[in-house]
Amino acid sequence: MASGDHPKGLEYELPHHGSIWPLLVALGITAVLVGLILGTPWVFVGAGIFALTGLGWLHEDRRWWNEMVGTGHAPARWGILLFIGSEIMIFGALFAAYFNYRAQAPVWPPAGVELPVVITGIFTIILLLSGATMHWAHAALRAGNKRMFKGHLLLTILLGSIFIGGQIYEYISLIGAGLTLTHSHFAATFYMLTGTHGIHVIGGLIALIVVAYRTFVHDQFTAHRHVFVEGVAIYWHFVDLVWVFVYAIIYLQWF
Amino acid sequence: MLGCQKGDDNVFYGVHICLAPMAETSNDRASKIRSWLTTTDHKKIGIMYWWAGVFFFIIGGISALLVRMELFYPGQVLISGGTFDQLFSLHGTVMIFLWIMPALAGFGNYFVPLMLKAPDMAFPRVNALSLWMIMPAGLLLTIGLVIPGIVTVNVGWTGYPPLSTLDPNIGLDFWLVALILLGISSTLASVNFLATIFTMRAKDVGLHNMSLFCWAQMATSLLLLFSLPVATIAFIFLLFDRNLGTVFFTGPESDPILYQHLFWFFGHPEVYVLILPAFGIISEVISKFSNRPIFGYHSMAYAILAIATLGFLVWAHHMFTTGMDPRADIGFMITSLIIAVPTGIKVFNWLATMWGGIIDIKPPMLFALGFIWLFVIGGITGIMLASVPFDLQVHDTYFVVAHFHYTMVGGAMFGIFAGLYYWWPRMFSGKMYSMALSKIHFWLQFIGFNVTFFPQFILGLQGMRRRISDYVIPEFVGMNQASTIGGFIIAASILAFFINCWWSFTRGPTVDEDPWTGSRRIEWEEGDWGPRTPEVPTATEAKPEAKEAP
Repeated sequence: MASGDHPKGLEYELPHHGSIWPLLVALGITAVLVGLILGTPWVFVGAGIFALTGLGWLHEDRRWWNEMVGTGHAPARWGILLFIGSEIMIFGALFAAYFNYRAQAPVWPPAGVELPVVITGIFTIILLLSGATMHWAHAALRAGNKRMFKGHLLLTILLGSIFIGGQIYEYISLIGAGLTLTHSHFAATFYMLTGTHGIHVIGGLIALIVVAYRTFVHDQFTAHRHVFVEGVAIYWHFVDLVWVFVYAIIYLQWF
Repeated sequence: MLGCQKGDDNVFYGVHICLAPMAETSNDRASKIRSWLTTTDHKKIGIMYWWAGVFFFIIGGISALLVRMELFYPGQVLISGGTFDQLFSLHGTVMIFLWIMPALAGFGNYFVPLMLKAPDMAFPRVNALSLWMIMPAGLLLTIGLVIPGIVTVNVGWTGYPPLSTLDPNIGLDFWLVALILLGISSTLASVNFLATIFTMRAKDVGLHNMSLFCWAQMATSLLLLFSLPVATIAFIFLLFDRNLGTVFFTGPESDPILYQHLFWFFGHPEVYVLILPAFGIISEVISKFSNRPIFGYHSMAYAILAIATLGFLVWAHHMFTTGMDPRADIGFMITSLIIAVPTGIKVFNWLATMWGGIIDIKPPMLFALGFIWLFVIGGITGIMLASVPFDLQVHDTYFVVAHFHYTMVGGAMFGIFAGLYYWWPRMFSGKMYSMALSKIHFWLQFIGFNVTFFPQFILGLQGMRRRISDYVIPEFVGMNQASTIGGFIIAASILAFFINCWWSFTRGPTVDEDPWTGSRRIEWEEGDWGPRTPEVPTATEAKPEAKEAP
């Protein structure tokens, strides 16, 4: 990484450009949260507003990072690491709740509850593979091998999507077998943990699709300028790592 | 559209979005409004944070006055018990999340980049996003005041289940959504502040010579970053309990105490979030107006970090009456008592800074001295409350109310006004305010504050419960009436403040350099002076080499 290009201090310029999208995205986030409270059909209206405003932000992102701002690599890298710090606390709190209810339960998991350990194990391997392909994609980009970068990027998106598909399939079959959200504390914490993780995987996939868009359509990343790719890669590895804990603790009951 | 240059690639979904704010030459009112709505400039964002805070401060203040009026006489006089519940809950939530936090974030936004000699925050657009999430959250919190059929939050700012799960009113869901929004906003702002402080300092601004205000902002951001997600999870569980039929916190095998653990794991760091930036402001003000560098800079900086770190280890001292394991009680008592050490270091360093200094009693210094006096009372009663046997007696009485108002109002709010009167010409108008009016403001606020809250210590020791709309014991009457009168004296002081604002904006003398004596400070020298200065026009063309994404 050419982090030496952007030393500390005033070398970079930061003209006071404006953007309407922060205001609109804030309204979009509000709309989706209020929609969740009001129920259908408002949740779809809210999600639609959020998606539109989010797309607007991303659309501007391309220009913003391209032409306007050059705060350099270090802030972006710190930004994603700090954000992951707060994500760790999210999963930490969920695991704390899980262990809390487990300590109070006489039988854990409740009698008659069987999680599909083997099938989900296969999906776990697929998710870990996607972590490997993400790493190879990033390494290829750093080495200047754009062909390999693009290939592995697409492969990562594919593997991540397979994992999400597997999650949806698992949810449907578990709910069909009677393990609903309100079945027990085990079910509730199980859905909260895997659901939160699933939302993070979907977020990571969206970020990867943005990377792909900016790679295939605009060809914006090079061996030396790709901090966005790096941030997404760090995030994706984090999401993979969380799943290892989820699988070991909930499915395998190792701890 | 006005102000947009030809060829700008900014038509999106048929919406023509102007990315660059207008040049100041166009005096068009709409374009001015637009430039505030679209700004990513840390100074403008800081100013908007501050005034948003003041707006909600008025709402929170009026609800507190109504609460005090109801308690003036025993018996239900003015408002029903249900309304009383809404008012004190709204007061707590609004004052914490929508007055003290935005006001301090406003100072942080305005001055941290200046103190670091950074061109802006690390992520300017994310900074604006954090600001704009405050407004809808405030709307959702207060919507019950205007729409009939929706109550505002009526379960205290803590929202303990089962109380908060059993009330079906949608206003409580809005309240939870508002808190989640504010949580996202603060998390993003914290990432932004930390990235700015870690990576955007100029070469001659080191971690160990930057202003203590930046250290305070850094510790605050760390606290928020690692504590907020936990409360967010608690709020989401609560939303699930209320809407989707889960039984996390309410029901035969549920665990309402888990909510308290998750909430206070955030809630206690939160009180340091409110006070640490005020510590930073007070350090700046005391050193400036004593004409001495701060005494013990490094011990000050690391005391802030120590308070922040210990702040994560004390949460269950809010829960001594829940029947925890007594050994856990002792552990949390000890960690809580230890916090007195770094706090004491700070107080003694402030005193040592003044010792031998040439003290200039200007309004900011008055507020700083008032801060020390009141915060020490708040801190010492905090040590009393940290000891388990005492806490078991006064838990949920007015003693606790008085304690945290001495830290939150006597501490954080006096700190905010110290910073405000110190930085006023730099931050808002480039104009000076009336010294006489600001001294009237201080003395009214200082006297009114003590008249309001000192009697509450006595009420608490006499056994008056907090959050109850009525009382019958005749011994309570006198102290309650004193407290109510004090509340109106504080309201009068705030009125003096608003008159002062108006005076300053309309006829205050213009100031364009540091108006105070004492050594020069970086934030007065650095950068353009406020929004009066025309904005730098777009420099897009000036950087043709930056063709690729970073």
